[in-house]
Amino acid sequence: MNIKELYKNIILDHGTSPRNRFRLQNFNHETIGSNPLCGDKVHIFFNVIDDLIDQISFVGEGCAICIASSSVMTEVLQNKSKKEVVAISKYFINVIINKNHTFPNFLEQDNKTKLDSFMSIGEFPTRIKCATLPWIAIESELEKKSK
Amino acid sequence: MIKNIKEEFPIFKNKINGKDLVYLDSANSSQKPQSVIDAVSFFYSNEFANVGRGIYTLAVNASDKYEKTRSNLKKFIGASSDCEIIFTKNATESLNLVASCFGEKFIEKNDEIILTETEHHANYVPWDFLRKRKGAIIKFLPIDEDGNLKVDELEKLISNKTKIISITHMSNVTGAITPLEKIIEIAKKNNIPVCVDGTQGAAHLDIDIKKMNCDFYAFSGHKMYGPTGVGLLAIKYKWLEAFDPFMGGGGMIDYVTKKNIAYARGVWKMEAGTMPTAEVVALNESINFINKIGKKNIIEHEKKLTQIALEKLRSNNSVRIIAKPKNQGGVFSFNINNIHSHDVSTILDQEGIAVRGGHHCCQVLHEVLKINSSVRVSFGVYNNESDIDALCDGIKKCQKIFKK
Repeated sequence: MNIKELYKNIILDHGTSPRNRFRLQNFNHETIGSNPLCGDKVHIFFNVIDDLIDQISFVGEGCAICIASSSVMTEVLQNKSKKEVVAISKYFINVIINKNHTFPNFLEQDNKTKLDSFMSIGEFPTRIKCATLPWIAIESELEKKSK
Repeated sequence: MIKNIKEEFPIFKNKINGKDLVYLDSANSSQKPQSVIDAVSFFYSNEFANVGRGIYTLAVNASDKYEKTRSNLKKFIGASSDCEIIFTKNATESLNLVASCFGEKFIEKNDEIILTETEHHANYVPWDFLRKRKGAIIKFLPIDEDGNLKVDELEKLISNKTKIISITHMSNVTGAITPLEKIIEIAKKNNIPVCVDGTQGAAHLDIDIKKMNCDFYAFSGHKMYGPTGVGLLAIKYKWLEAFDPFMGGGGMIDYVTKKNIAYARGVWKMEAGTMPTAEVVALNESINFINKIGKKNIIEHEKKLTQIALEKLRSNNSVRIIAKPKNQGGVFSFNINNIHSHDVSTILDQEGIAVRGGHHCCQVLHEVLKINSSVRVSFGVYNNESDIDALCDGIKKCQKIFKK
């Protein structure tokens, strides 16, 4: 596969100019995703009001794929319910790993396009964790809180 | 001699992602010459038996070959008669052996261990076990902004509680060669034993253990063109006598009864269970391989490549070399502005170039240098100037992809 398939414009854009990269003033959830092998680390903050993510941001260090994934995540999960977050996270991970996935019908088309741009990462097995890191972190935070 | 050396390494006949392999990760592990690969195959095909146990012909011959590697290794590192070599799994196990056996007998609460800020995790984590288990204190000899150890500060770190100094022979990130002579002189003046992590030194630097006068020198076969699965520990005999066994099992005993167990003496005390026999035997071929080229030629070759590479990379304004040591071996690390080391290594990989991205098991060093990660280039005998040109082209490709 051509390397340009991996570094698509949308990934380069979010990877080099990430959105929502700051620490939220008010948040009631935070979680850290880290990869001890490479030192990538993202710290995610989000505020849930009436089961909906009102605000979400992140800070961290990592490769373009990890930062792009975190940035896209903060855009896509805006105003989503906890249940929807888990469904979108599963969709994203499936997009990369299985390429065989069911599109959650509540997901907007432009958000789907953003997530689908990570599809070719599946062809680079050593980089899958870079993309899934923030998603696994937020999923485990929500699972922890719901127990 | 070094000119056509690539031909002795069959891996370079293969294409990686459709490109010729440019292997720049010898600090991680070196590639293997055909003679070493053949030695593994020949031993299994014709001579295999377990060592140190059977009294049949095959077992005796296998034991002889195994011990021949040991005696050749002693010559290779210039060991004196009061120094032995123990076979382990890797240099990490060798360092764990020293920390564990030394710590068990000689480290008490508040005793001090001196390491440096450049250590690989393999020469930090085993000592951290003693910090947790015994309440020991770890002190770090700092580096200056160029990555040189501040040796002048060593005496200040030493106290009457200092029990051991454990230091690398060469940084696996910056390529800085440790001024061991000076450090060991200070240590000996204060009667402190010294353990050297020689993982990067063994195949790439001059080693004369007798002259060096260290108490322990840990290294591994796979970084010296030899097989994986063999680690080495050169150890002064007095410590071998003083230490309790690191692991228990077959082969390391003198006798066993229901009431008592007596351990074997010498190196056998530390080699429990079946050892990586074929690998140890084949390691002899890697010693022959290095000797055939000559250490002096290897050092010269790798230092020259490093200087050429650094000069070329420095002409690229977006490349930052992360240190500038006074005395540097065939290793250096860099970053490209605004491009993470993992993105660089993925893009280079598509060009057939193997480099390492990340912290290279040296998180303390990266923290001190205030960087998250870096791209590491490390040379071996098989590298040449065209590899450096490929690297420079690869770096330009990274910049092109990331250019908005």
